[in-house]
Amino acid sequence: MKINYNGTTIEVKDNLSLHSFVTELQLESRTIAAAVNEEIVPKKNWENFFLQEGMTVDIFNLVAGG
Amino acid sequence: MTDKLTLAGKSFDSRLIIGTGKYASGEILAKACKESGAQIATMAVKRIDTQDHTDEIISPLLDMGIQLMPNTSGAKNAKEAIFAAQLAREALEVDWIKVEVHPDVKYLLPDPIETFKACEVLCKEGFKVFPYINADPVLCKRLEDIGVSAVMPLGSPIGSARGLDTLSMLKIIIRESHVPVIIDAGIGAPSDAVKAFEIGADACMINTAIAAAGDQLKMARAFNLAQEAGRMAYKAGLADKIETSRATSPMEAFLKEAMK
Amino acid sequence: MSFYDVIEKTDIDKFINLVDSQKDTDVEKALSKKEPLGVDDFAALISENARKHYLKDMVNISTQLTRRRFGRCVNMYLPLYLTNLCSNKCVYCGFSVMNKFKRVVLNLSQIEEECQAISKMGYKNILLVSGESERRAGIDYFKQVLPVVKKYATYLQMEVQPLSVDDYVQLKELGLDAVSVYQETYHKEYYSKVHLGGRKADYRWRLETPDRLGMAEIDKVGIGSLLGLYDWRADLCATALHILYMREHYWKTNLSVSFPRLRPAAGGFEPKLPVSDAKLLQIICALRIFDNELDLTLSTRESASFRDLILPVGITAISAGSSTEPGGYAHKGENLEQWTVNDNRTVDEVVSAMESSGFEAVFQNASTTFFSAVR
Repeated sequence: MKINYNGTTIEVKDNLSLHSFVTELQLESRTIAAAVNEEIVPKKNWENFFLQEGMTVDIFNLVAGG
Repeated sequence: MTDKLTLAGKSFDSRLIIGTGKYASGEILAKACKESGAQIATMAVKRIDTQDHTDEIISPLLDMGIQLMPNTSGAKNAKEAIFAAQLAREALEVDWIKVEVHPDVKYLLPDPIETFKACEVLCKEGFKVFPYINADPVLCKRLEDIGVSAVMPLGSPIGSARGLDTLSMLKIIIRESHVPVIIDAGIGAPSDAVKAFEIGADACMINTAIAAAGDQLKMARAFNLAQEAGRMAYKAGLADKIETSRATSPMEAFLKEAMK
Repeated sequence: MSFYDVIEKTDIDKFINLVDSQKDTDVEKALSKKEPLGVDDFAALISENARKHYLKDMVNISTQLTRRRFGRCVNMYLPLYLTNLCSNKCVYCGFSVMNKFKRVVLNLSQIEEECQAISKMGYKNILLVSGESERRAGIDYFKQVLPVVKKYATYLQMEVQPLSVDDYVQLKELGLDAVSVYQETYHKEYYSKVHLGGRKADYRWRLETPDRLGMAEIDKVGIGSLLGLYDWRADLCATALHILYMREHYWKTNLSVSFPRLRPAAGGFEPKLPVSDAKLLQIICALRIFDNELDLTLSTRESASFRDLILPVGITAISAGSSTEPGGYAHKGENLEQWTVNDNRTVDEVVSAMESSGFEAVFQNASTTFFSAVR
């Protein structure tokens, strides 16, 4: 299925949890936050949150900046 | 040392806050932080760059025990600032948030109305809120009333290195405020920081002045000394002169008796 | 949290020794400070050392600070006594329930008559004063009185019994601009010795009134003590503490301070520790240096020559041609006055004395309210 990830459309496998998605991107150890369709999904809910066709997933981290 | 800075219930020996932008590497940033003595650093929340995963600045700072103060830079309105704050809390598990809303791209001057709206929501959601604002004493009182943890008025526009252009307003803010006053933006040289501390600022936020210096570590050290000198001068109490003028003649006569 | 909690933690009698122990260096420090002054600094400014060695400097500084903040304008107000009825037993006051005399409560047409007489004198800033009688001059009475007086007053002040936040909010809607409630003395034990009965015997209810006024967002709040009643060193330092507290908690509230000296009144109470003219001048300077923005008001309790002398030093509002008996402007001499007026000059005489020393008497105070009920 197709989803929008950080501004680009990508192909991911069906029945994918947000947690698995983050793990596949090798981001799981980093200080990040995730939002799906502009709603923040708390880390504790990632395992049970399954992505669906056409969803917009945004992953944020902290970067240098005043 | 008894003269500690207290922000949102935590106390700090240093009165400098380091902005982490414009450094060549996380390593230099961490060293500059150490030289400056700062125990608090700001950082921004951004969508992950899907191509580049190297921008990892947090771990060296966390290893040093630095208090992180994420900010909402990039937000153009209250809604975006609130979203950025929630993302930062989710990512870092830190409830401190520096609220910055600057729709103005030329001077990056903060929008007081959107900033206030965002602070109102975030205070209610239990954040420790640190608004970046223009040096407006009434706005500071209004923000204080809704429960912000400190106010962060600017000395002059971000990155301008113009020093304390807003000096007279800053003095009013410092005199009237019951929350800590952190002077943010525009501090271009250690002498500006000395002045800020002399007039009673609780803390100063420094970014470009160190990050863009010829020798960043030396400049960080210079700011460390500046905070010490300025704060000490404030504690010592600056001298002032009493002007004299002549009293009216009935008053002269009255005083002659009254001062016996 | 109210000012009562602050006072409970404060030993007011310790202020007496604090004032007496101030040295010349303490006074100099207070006079040269750039940052806001504390109660210690205030104690230095009212000390004997300050009077003997620095009063001239204090007069000079206070005069300059007053000009810088207020220019050469002095607001003119006039008290309108609504009633001498009072259910309190205050040993120093002529209106006390213990004193036998004819009690009157002005009705609305009598008030209108008074207002007309006051208007003829040129006043538009009226201070409503009453004894404290919840039953016959309570909130319902005031709600009838204010619309009548508001026809004549652009600026309306009250000095009546303490009321609730809700009462003040209602009166504000009717055009109330300022309220004064003087604590008389901040010393709790002594307070109960001189306030023997009536609602005024409730120290806390009175002490927390400025808090309630702040909460009701009344534009200006007047505080102060009756000098000479208890030890003025203790009461003035407590007043300074009260000023700091009000500034800290109610940033939208203007503050005024009065410094009435206890004067002879029916009942024959004599002040124990009188405040001399020199000391009163010093106190005015100390208050101005302590808080540059304070309104400082001076009534006709003081003599003409003394009022003329101290006016430029720090005063921002005065009354002239006052009567302290209910109905006294339209029909003089029919009722008991609360205290004796000491400056008996007419308004015109006072104004021309002010003009000759370069001051302008301001009668037209702008109202502080934009929205008020139209009746």
